[in-house]
Formats: sequence, structure tokens, C-alpha cells
Amino acid sequence: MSELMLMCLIAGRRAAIPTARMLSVIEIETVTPIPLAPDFIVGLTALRSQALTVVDCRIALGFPASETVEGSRAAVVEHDGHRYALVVDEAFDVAQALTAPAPVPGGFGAGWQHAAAGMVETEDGPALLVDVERLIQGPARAAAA
Amino acid sequence: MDELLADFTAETREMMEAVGGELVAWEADPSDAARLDSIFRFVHTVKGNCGFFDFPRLARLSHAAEDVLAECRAGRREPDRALVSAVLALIDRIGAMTAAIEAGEEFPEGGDEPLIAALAVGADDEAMEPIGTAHPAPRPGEDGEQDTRAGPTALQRTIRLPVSLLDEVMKGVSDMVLARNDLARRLREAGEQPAIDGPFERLSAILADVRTGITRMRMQRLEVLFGSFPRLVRDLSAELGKQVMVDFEGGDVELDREMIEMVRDPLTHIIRNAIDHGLESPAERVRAGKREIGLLRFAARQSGNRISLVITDDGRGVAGDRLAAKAVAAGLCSEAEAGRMSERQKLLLMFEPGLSTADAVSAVSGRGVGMDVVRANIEKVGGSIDVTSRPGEGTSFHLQLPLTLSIIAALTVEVRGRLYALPRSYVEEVAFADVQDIEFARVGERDLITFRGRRVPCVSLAEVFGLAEPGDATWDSKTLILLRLASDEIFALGVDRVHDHEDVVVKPIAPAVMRTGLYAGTTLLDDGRPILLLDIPSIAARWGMSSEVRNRGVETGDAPDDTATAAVPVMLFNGLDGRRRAIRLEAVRRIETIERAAIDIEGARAQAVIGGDILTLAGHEAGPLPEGRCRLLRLSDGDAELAYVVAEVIDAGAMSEEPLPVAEDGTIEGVTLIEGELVPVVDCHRLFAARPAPARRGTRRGRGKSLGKVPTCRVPADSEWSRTILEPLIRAAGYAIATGAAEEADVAILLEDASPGEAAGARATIRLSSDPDNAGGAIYRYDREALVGALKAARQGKAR
Repeated sequence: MSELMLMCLIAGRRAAIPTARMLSVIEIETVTPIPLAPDFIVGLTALRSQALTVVDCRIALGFPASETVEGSRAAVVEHDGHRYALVVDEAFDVAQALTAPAPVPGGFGAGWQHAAAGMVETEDGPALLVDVERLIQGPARAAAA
Repeated sequence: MDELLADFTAETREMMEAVGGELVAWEADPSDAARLDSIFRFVHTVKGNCGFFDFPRLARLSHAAEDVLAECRAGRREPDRALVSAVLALIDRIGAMTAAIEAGEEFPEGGDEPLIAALAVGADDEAMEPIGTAHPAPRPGEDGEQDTRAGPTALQRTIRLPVSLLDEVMKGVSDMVLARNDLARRLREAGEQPAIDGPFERLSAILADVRTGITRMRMQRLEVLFGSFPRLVRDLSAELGKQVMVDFEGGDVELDREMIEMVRDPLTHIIRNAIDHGLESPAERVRAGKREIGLLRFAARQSGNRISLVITDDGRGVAGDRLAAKAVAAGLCSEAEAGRMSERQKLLLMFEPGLSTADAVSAVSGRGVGMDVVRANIEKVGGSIDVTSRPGEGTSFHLQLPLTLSIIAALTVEVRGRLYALPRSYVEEVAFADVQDIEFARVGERDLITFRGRRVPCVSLAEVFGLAEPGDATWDSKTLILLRLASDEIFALGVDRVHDHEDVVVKPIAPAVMRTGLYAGTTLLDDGRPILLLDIPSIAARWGMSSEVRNRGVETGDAPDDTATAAVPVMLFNGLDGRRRAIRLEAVRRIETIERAAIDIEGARAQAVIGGDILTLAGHEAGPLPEGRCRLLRLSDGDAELAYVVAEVIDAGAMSEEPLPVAEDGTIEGVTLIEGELVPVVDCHRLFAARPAPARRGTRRGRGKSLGKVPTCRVPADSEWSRTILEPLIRAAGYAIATGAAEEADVAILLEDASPGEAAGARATIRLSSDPDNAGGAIYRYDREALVGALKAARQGKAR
């Protein structure tokens, strides 16, 4: 397991996003809100003449919304032909995962459990590996029910 | 045809290039079967294409090569050096001829025979050698190759490009536009600089041209797609022993390249099915009294922002019952469910996975792909597919394809400081509430406007977005966009401002956003801001502005087709009390869905507002009205209309006999058996007899649809007062407004300053005065009683 990860901070926790499907890391400039869209979708932003769907990772994981999205850093990923900008608290460096993702006894906690693929060890300590696909689906439906 | 030809030469050239390496490898090792195969495929394809284009020489050459290669593949002949050389010489020749065709030149006569003869068994190496080198035959080949290289400057050539490359270029150009806009802003800020402004303007103009060009590059005529079908049809029909003619219409409709590629496979499958299962063999056709040759028709049309493509065969049609039986056999539905299905629903079963329409799976269509895959693929690109069939007459597949991948003309509008785009194809008219003469009314929770004599439901976009409370819209400051839906219904959307017309490239939107049902895609404005494209039909349906008949399995128009002649078609529904009833289908004009708020019941008066018409309501006595949306049957006796509210529309059915009268219940005509169940039949006669027929008098309808029966009144033209104040009064008095100035009218109302000519064509005149004390034979314009009285008198005068 030597997959490259973008190390970042989501809701104050260290998280890792696989770089395999990542296109770039950007700073969100302006966001066009989408009325009536699910709350974790903050809006649209443009990256080099392409519209990105901006996802607030905090809300997607079940935490309160990020204070300001505009000006935040975001990882641009592609899923199913659509491009998303995943807004994180902070984006650090790209690092190598030292271990395969593994579960943590007792789980990661409510929101994380939904969108975490497991825990990976990095040189700077453990981080949660984010499952991009589930993140994009938004908060677990079960939580709403 | 030129386009097809260009495709053919391009394809051949491309294949020549690809096969070149194979040829060399084959020459090195003639026993290499894989090489042999790819060379065989090449000549086979060329042969097939030639047959289609009528190039006899090319066809003969490729045919000869194919034959000999087939022998080799079958192991009947050992490829030796002589054979390889002969084939190579032949393929060179094909290349040379193709180049000549492309250049539009005549290829020198003769020289083919020795090449073909060289393929024969026993044509020895010696004989071959001179052909390969000294014989003039390959020479033109060399020339031809040079032609190919030199060609681009002389000719309109086509090249093939991956769509991704096009997209990349498109993106690059879009980026350039953004950079230009940025620069433009900076230049503006810096003030006038003639030395820079001139060149900059030129740059902008060039950029605009380039952009248009790139945009067009993405579009392709459907011809390109159609072009490959005759060949396919020919092969298939030959294989299946059928005779099929193809007919195309609308090949000039343009569609995004990507979309064309996406629908190619599904269409191929439909064609395959049509020829295999749909069309009968010539003998069967003759027996059925049809022409021996079956017909396969393709018709494409652009309607709004969708392309409709209809593929029709005149074959045996699909029997819904057989499909239903198969579905039952395959466990897709129960027998009872199948029994309740309408013919249409049965036909739609063919799109269910695990159902094959053919009893015998043939080599052609039995390839493990069913119509379910076809539907899935069409839906994947945002399209839809539907089928209609008449036993013995044929089957039609109706495809609706979106232009989501394409360029669409859009109108950008502003709501609460944000911009949105909506497809211009829906826009009927843009009206400014503060300038133009628009009358607002509120019926229940529904806002209505009267515009150009029509009552149109309206909703503000802010309300759609949940940004405004229903009803607190300040309409007079809004701009209204009148939108016409595919079903011909009209509704108005209120926005703060209309910005601009723009051609936009629509990109699909993320699924989570798509689920809101409000947006069809995203697009970027010239300044790089992303904006959302509104999904007008969905918004209309969600706000009850569209009657949605399409989405239901019941279609009043289709249903009578599949009932026996003696049977009376009826519509089955559940009343508000949950009990099943039937009503004669003839009386049902359509099924409507309206908001609960559009129904108003007060004491004995019950009315519903449907698309600007006020109809008397029936059926509400049966039980409480549902929350939210109500389904209505819109009934008509030819003149009058009324709305019958139901809990649920079930299906169209047929009663085979006249209903059995039941004395105890006056509201029903009787009871009848429908598919073994006892069903009361609503008495339409009593329904209409018991209720006033508002539509006939046209009192509240501004449309003047039934002008023949309604007295008409002409009002002073170009007067705001007459439109806003007078017209409603006149309508209330039972008149319709005569529209054209030259039109005959029962009454003409004239203002005091009118010329006598204005009364021409009217049987009676009423003069109005603006001075209450000095009316002088005229009626003071606000003397309502006198005016209504005069109108009444005129009407009775007419009756007398």
C-alpha cells in the first residue's frame, strides 16, 4: 500500500483523500448557490471554464457547516463524469499511506463512519481515509430517518 | 451523399494506414493467422462499402482479395510469397483508387485484370514480379499516395478527431474568452487607449469567430448516423431473407457528436429487432396483403430543446397480450396484474429486463442485449423511449433525446441577485408587469394573470426556489416570462429581471443536484460564472402547471384502439370514497392535476381552476379532497365542461354491454362487469344536467373558444381603461370580447371621441361618456348598472 493521499483537515480531524482521482487542489473563489439543493452542496464554482459542484465536507459528514466556503481550500475530484470541489478546513501536503485502510475498534463516530474507508497510517500519524463516493452522496440517509 | 463519400474515403484511408503494418508483418510470415484476419477484415469492409457506393472496380478488386483471403483463412489455401505479393499489389490499388475518388479524379482504365489473375492458384512468382514492379498498375498507386499527401490544400477533406480533443479545444477557447473578458475589464478601467483598443477589438472579433467555429464542430447532422444504416439494414435483411427499404427524414437535424455516438448502439439494436422480429418475410407480407418489401422509416425532428426520433416499421406489430403472457411466464408480474394492464402498459413490458420479444432467438437479435439495455442507454443520456404498435400494421419507437450535451439558446434571468438560464425554446413572450397591461388575480393559493385575454397560472421563481413565501410576491415589479410547454399549456414565471439571450453549452449537473428536479444542467456565462439551467417541464409539473397525462399509463386517445368494436371504452377510477367507478371515455377530455388550492368549495358551489378556466366541480361529494395535488377528469358534453375529482385514475377499460340500470342510485347510469368486477358507471347526463354549464356561456373564460354561441362585444381598442376595467365587466355580463377590428360583433362599445366608423359590423352600439353630468344619451363610464343593463338589453334584442 503506497497510495498517495492528500492530507487535510476536515471538521478539525486529520483526514486523507486519495489522490488517484484528484485533479487538483484549489482555493474556492466565488460560489453560486443552488436553491433547494441538499445542504451539503454549497453551490457551483468555476475552475478553468468548468463548473464544479462544491461539497462542504463538514456537512457531508454530519458536522455543522463550514463558516466560510469562499476562500477555503478544496480538493477537486471527478466522479461519474462530474467534477466536485470538496471543501476542507485545511489542505496540507500529499503523503504516502503506509498501511492499508483498516477499521478502528469501536468505529470512527457517527458522521465519519458513513464516509470513511478506514484508518491509514502516515508518517505524520494516523488519518481517516475518506471515501469520496460516499462523501458525495451526502450525509447518511439513516441519519435523516 | 458527399458527406458519406468523404466518410468512406476517410475510413478507407484510415484503415489502409492501420493495415499497412499488418501487411508488412504478414509478408514476413504468411502463416500468421492474426494478421491474415485483420487484412481480411479490411478488404471485407471495403467490399461492403463499395457495394453501397457503386464503385464496381473497387468492388471487384476487394471481392477478389476477400475470396482468396477467405480461402487462406479456411485453410484451403496456403499463403505463399506470390499470393502475398498479389494481395499487396491489390491493396495498393485499392488505396490508389480511393485517393482518386477523394480527389474527384477519374482513375485510369484497365490494369485490374492482371492483378486479379495474379491471385489465382499457380500464378507463379515469375509472373508476379513484373506486375509488382514493372507493370504500370502500381504507378498510379504511388501517384495516388502523393495525391493523398497533397490533397488537403486542394479539397474539402474530412478528418476524424476524438471528441475529447474537441472538448479540450472548446475548453481552451472558453478560457480564452474568459481571459479576454478579464482584459476587457482592465482596459475599461484604464481608460481609452486607442493604440491598444483597436487590436483588442480585432482580437475579440476573431475569438468570437473561433468560438462559433468550435461550437459548430461539436454538432453533426443526423445524416452521419443515418448513413451507416442502409448498409446495416442491407446486411441484416440479406441474412434473414427479408426485403427491407429504408427511408430517412430529418437528416439535417443537428445533434451533438457525443450524443450521436451514444445513441448509435441503441438504434442499431432497434433496427436489428425491427428486421428480425417486426418485419415479416416477403411471402408472409404478400399473404397479409402488403408490399413484399418492408419499410423502415427514420424521422428526426427538433422540437424545443429535444430531438425526437421515430423509427417505424410496417411489420406485424407487437401483440401486447403475448408480451404480457411472457412477462407472466418470466415472473415479472402476476396474471392478475397483467390482466389489469392497458395495451400500452403491456407494450412497455418489452423494456423490462428478462423479456425477449421473439419466440425463437435468432443469430441476429439473440445477442443477449434486450430492449431493457436500449432503454437504459437512452435514459443514460437523458432521453426517453416509448413504443406504439398496431397489430398487423407495424411498430414505432419514439425516442426523445435531449440537447443537454449541445448548445442551446438560453435566456438569462435574475432572481434575488442571482442569475439563472432557461431554454429559450419554451419562452413564448416576455412581459413587464409594470409597463404592460396585465391583470393579476388570486384564486385559492394560485396566482393567475390575464394577459392578452388569457388566464395564465403564474408562479414567481423566488417562490419555486423557496426564497419567498407563497403569495407575498409583488407582482407589479416583476418581469413575467410566459412559457409554453410541450403539451401546449402556458404558464408564467415571475423573475426580477431578464438579462440577456445567450447560446450556452450545457453540461450535466451532479446527481444530487439533479434530484431537486429544478435544473437541467449548468453552463458558464461569458465572464466565467457558472449558472444553472432551469428544467422548465419539471418545474411546471411540480407546480401543477402541467397536466402530466404523459406520465400516466392511461391515454385517452389511444385506448379505444385496442377495444373490440362492440365494447364501449370507459375509464376506470377510484372516487374520493375509494370506490371504483367507471365513466364513459368519450366524455373524458383529459386528465388534469391541479393543486388542492385551485379548488374552491363554498356551500353548494364547487369550482376548480384548470389552466385559467373555471370549471364546475363534481365528484367532491364522495369524500374529503386529498391534500396537495388533486387529480381531475375533465369532462365535456361537447359544449360544456366540468371537472370530476377522483382519488386515482386506474386505467382505461371496456364494457362489453350497456350497463344494467340500478333504480336506487340516481348518480349512476347502472352497473357493468369489467374484467369480472362489478363497476358502477357514472351517469354523465345527470352530471351535466345537474350543474350549470359555465364553459358554454364563456363568462369567465377569456379565450373565446366557443365564440359561436356567445354574444360578442367590441371594446375601444388601445385604451387601457377598456382592457382593465371594461372587459371584465363585459365578460361578467356574458359577452366575449371580439378581437379583430373588422370582426362582426353583437355590440360595440364606443367612447365619446370615437369615430362612427368604429361601430361598423356591430348590431348594436353603446356609447360611453366620461362626464357623469353631461352624458347626453351616452352612459357614464362608471355607471355600472346602466352599462350592464344596456348590455343585457342588447343581448335580449339579439335573442328576439
